[in-house]
Amino acid sequence: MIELRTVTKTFGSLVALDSLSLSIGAGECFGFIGPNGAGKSTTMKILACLMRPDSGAAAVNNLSVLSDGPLIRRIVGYMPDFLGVYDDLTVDEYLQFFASAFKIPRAKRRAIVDGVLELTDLNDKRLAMVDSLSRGMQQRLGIARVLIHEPKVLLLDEPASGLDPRARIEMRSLLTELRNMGKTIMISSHILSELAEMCTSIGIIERGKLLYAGSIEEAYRRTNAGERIAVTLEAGSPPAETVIAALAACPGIARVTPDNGSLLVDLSPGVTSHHAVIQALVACGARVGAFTPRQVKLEDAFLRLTKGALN
Amino acid sequence: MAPPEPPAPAAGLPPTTPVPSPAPAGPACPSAPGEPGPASAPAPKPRRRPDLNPFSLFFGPIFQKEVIVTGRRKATYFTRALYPLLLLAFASLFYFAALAAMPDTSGAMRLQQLQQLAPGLALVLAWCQFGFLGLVAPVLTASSICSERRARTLGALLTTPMSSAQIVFGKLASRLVILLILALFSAPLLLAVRVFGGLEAELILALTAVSLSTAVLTASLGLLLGTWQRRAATAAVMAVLIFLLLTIGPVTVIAIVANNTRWSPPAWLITGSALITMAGITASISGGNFGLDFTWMWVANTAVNLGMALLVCLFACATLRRIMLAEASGTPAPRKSKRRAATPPVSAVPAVPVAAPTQGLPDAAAPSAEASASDDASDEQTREGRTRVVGDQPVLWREVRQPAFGSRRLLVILALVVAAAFGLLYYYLPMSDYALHRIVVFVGLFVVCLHAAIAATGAVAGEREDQTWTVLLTTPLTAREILLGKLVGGLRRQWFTPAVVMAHLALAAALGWIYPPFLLHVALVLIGVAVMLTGTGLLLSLLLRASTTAAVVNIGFALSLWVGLPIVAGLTMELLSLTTTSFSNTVGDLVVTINPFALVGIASESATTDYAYIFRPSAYSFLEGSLTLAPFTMVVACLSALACSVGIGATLAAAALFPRASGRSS
Repeated sequence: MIELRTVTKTFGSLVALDSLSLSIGAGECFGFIGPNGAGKSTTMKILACLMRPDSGAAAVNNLSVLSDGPLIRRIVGYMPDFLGVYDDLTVDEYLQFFASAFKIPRAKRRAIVDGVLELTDLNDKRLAMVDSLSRGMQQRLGIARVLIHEPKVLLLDEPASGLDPRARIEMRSLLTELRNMGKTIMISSHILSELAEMCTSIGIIERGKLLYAGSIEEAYRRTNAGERIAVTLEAGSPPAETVIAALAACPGIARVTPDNGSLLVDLSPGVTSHHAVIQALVACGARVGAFTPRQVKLEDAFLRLTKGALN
Repeated sequence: MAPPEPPAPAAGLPPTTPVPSPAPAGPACPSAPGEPGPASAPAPKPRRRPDLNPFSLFFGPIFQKEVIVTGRRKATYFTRALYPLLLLAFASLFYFAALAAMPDTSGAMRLQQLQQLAPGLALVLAWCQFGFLGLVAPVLTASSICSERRARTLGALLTTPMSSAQIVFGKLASRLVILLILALFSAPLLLAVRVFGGLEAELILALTAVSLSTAVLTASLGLLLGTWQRRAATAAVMAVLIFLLLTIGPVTVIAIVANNTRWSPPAWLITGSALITMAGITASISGGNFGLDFTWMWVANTAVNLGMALLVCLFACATLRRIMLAEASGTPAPRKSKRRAATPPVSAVPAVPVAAPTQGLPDAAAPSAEASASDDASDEQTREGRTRVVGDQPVLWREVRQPAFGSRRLLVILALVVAAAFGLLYYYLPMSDYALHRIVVFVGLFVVCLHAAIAATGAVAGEREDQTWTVLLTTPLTAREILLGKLVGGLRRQWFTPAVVMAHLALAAALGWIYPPFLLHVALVLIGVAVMLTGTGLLLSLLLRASTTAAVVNIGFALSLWVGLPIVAGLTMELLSLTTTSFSNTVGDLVVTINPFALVGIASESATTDYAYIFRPSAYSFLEGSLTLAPFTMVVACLSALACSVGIGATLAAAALFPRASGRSS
């Protein structure tokens, strides 16, 4: 559905995108990860036909961004990282405005606007002036606007930025709903845990170069990271060094490190059984206060994949 | 009760850092025995004394920041280069034209002639400086507060110990430095004129003082209006208009009253008018004096200008403080607070059945249960409005619904002020007096020119500043749809002044004091001017990043076309010794007729209802002949059509440049 081939974009001496190649299939929810200034927004703007690449080719649904802009605009919904709003319109008028801009016949507009208001839970705010909405509601309105012309592809640039925790949860639910509707979604975010829950695949970009693109599982596998267990010992246990030595001798355990009164036990990649750890602890006489397995997070994968990649 | 002990660390493990328990509620520093507790007698709040140290008031952090930022802008150096070059160009043209007009004489006679030339040259430079500094000053200051509002940095400034006076005076001082540098550029030129002799140093000082103090006043007005207006260009133009009102209004009223009551006003009463003072100095250099002694008036005018500037700045300080508090607390700006629901509340709106518009939009929203809860706090601040049905051309639909004035209240106030002004005019000037109609038409045309020059300059630049442009570009709307919609919207917002002018002329025509075709001439000129400047403003808005820059360039375009071109043409003819030829008259007619003021001036000569006069062959006089009504009307219509085509052409050029200027890839 989305295809970028050796796309390069420069701003003066700054290389925003450096021969970026990427492919996203239909119905995928693709999380675009990278630090500020990595090139995420530039990529999205190129796909939304808002920017011309210096070289390379980009296509959405087999339509070139260089020559098929009007057609692409009809199938793409782009939400920028900062949503500017027309402060003189109500929510309903704002959506009608964009419905009209997308040439939706007047007879159908009412139903479509009602539909997206319902979906984004803005029905109560139909008559509210757009600039008086809270940040969370404005972001929901941004999503509503993006959906107004029933796009196949959604390009969402930091849709959850600046939202409070509850609004984030709501936004995540909404995006999950959209994913379930079969839309192809490309979403950038700094909240990696949210992307991990929503996305089927991710891309990691840094300084204009794509460091990784693929499934989240593959990212974990590539980082060669196993599961981590936090063990808290109670009073009466043998000295920490003894316990560490006992665990280190146990097969399937890669590393044991003390951490602020606890022990962090890193399992070898692919090892999922906790039985051996418990057995080793019991064998050395340790009194276990807490045994907390922790999944490898997307943050860990991101850090490991980007560490030194460009140096 | 003692707080619970923290759990003991595991044997052998490094001890965990205990989390400090929260301090018990109460005063951090308990009162000494015998001292009254804080609850019984709170310590008196130290009264903050205003910082009146001039150095910190004018040259504080705001000044330093502004100077650094100004130094980084290319426009600063461009203006500094352009200004002396323009002055030099005008001075050179004037000099060589005057030289060419002089008869060939001996060296001694030549020197004497040059001595006569010096005052004229000095006046050209002084008026250029007066106009340029007076116009540039509000442009520089109006954007200073507007940009802070747009960047939402005023709230952050409020958290610092800086007072609003430090912000206002700091910004003013930083802009005045720019103006001072520009004025200094012209000083060598003015002083060089003295080499010829025949010009006293005091006059140069007087001209410079009046120009600079006028610039300080218009800069202060720009600063004040910049705190009220959202668009810097609007604030700058309003500052110029208010300045003109301040400098012309009282003098006009005094003149009308004096004329009708045989009262001779004392000279000091008109010292407040910078224009009159400049005219007085000009007259005294040229040998005349209007019957008044202008030698001391420049001092009085400078003092009045600076005094008014101080008052305006103090008012700006108070306004800024209020706005900063509003920004910091998140309260909507005052202008937005009145719009309330005009339709039934949401619950009363009949539910429209959702006809499954998309490929499976869900029946109920997933986050519905908790959705409203998170925004409950903001519900009270949400303003509601009447929902209208959007047309099939959304940009056009929105643009034509943009209010011409910020609020209805402002419109009412303005209408009352205009009605009062007309009441005064009608009271003192009879309808039979053509001066009345000329005043109305010329002032109206001036306001239309200014309004048209800025009406569309925020069309694209403003959307970029508000960050709505990107979203608009993601729609399939074509460049023409967007830009023509904005052109029509920009034209519609200019309805007020032409309506007032035409209403006055219609009344005069109905009462039999004006020949009706004059209405047609004025209407054609107003339409031409409005369409042309709105179109060029739209093009500039697309090409330039800031709406203020676009407005300044557009006004500069109009000035160079209507003022610069005739001056250059006239001086060139003088230089080439073609002043008395038919060719020079034809050129003169061409450059004059494209000036709407000149065209209206010619039209107003025959606005009389003396039909015998109108149908004379010389009813409408030009340099190279005269026209009767029908051909003159044709000329006006053609010139209006030409101006309209320039405006529409500029819009279409903007549409052609749209992909490049907007960044749209296709």
